[in-house]
Amino acid sequence: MKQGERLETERDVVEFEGGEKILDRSVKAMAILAGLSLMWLMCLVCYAVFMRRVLNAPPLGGTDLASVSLVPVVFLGFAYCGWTGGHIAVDLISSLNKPNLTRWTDVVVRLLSAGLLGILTWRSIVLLEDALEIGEATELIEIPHAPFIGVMIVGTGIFTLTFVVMAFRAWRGQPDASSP
Amino acid sequence: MDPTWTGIVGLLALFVLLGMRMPVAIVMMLVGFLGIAYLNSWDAALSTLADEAWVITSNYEFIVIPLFILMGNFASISGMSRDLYGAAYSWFGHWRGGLASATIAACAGFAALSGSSVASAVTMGRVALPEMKRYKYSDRLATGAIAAGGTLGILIPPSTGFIIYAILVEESIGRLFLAGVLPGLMLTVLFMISIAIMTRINPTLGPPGSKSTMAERGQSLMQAGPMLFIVVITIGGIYGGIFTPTEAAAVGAMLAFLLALFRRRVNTSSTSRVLLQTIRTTCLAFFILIGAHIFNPFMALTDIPSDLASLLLDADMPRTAIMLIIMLAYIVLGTFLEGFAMLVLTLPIIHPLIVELGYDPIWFGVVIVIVIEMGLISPPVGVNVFVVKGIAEDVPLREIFAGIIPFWIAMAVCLVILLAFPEIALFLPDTMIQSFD
Repeated sequence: MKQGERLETERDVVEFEGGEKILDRSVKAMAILAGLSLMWLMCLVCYAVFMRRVLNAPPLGGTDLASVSLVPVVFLGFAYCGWTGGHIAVDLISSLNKPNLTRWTDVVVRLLSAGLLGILTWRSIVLLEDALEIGEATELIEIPHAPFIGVMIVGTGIFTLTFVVMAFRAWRGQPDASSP
Repeated sequence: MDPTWTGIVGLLALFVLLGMRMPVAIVMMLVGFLGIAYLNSWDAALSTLADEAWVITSNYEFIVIPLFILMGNFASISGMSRDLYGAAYSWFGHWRGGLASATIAACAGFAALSGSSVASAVTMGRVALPEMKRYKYSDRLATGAIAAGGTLGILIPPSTGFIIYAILVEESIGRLFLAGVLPGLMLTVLFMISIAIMTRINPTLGPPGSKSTMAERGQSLMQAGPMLFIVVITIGGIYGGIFTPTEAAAVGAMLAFLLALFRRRVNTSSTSRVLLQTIRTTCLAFFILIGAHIFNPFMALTDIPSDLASLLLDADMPRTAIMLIIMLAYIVLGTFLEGFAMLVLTLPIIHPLIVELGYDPIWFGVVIVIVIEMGLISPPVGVNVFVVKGIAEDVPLREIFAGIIPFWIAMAVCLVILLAFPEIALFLPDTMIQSFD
């Protein structure tokens, strides 16, 4: 069993080179951006609470703005979570103690995952096209959905890429960012 | 293939892929996606994939997840865990086994700030374990108390377990939070009673610590005051209808941040660590939710939930017996499945059955979270046990597992009491004042 809530401080240091190093840094930078978006979200909701409860003047569209602000918090962090082994998985075969078997199942599983996330990225592009065509926006203050769907595309795209790279690393017998 | 057989094949594929270490969320997405494509159409499956991902990540109600996680992580760096332990120690430390009881009480207090069992066990373990070693507590009692105390993190609100459950079964997060308060306090007392019984039978397990004066006790409570203030504001705010859970989470996170700032615990490194850790846990939860929202429509198309409900209802068994079977099945599953995974994989099948049997889904949410807690300290997986092992490296794993047995029994007693008296869980949600946006 992989523990999904391993602390960031416990992350093992794995050296990356070349393109993988760029990916590692990009994934971490995106996660920091996601964290900053969350801080903004916290301030926004607190401001809305203050205006509503203290001044009895709820800001127009506060809920709209908060809703779309959640999108970067999640999608900019997906790749970091996957890259650092954060997603929960049930580990039954590694207890069989057959490293070769684990290595090949890891390659297959990661390529399958990358395939599915690739489809999700493609469908997000279709979603963006539809949003642009119809002019989809939030209900009250009409914040356009398109830029946030753009963030979704970037997030799922990079997430897909991390699985491809992790599949290659498994194939070469190299450890993940989170491996001991 | 008829829908039921398609569902069975889908479930088999799900278990095979899980066994191959595919992330739970991706397994659910993949099986749900292919299942919908087979039973409905490719177009339906393709649009479900992106639509669900968008709908879930742009939903105002779900903002509560990252904000409560953020609150817990800021609470961790603010030094509140030490204050809490200090307060609990001054009141219970002089009892026989008092340091272990203080650990449990401090864990319960920290649980009111953090929705994570692992975070509670790590944070309190680092504070409490050296103290219990200093007073020559048995390793078994010390580590068992930390592992068990940590599990209170997902029962006492705010709890990520309750949030995920509420979203999956479309119940009120606020009502679930309040439903966890009294059972959480009851379990805390049951844990402390277990410690008292153990140390009465064998006093060498936990010798008493030094006795604090009333002035020291008062001072320790003053130091823990900011933490109590945040808990009263957030949970009290939800109960009193002042805040929605999302608003309470934002205010709580802001207060925990300001406290950490005031105590000079905020710098670039600690903030970056808190943000990365929060984002990691948030994404884990959201990815599973997206997976569940693609898997659940597939399960609904297969008729398996309704077939299972009919099968059990036609068996003419008393509903308490059915509930006991469900609890037992969850306890067994909990020994090898992670809590979140267990929730999202089983609820599409079990929830309709619970409703059909006439049980309150809010009450069942509390029960299921306690069962997940039991899994957190059960061999062979027992995540919290491994977390404690990480802190107490010199203590053999079998000693820690032996230490949790009395606490595990206390949890089973708690479940039986809740089964007999569901009102314990339902009293606060039934008397809360609803907040409307």
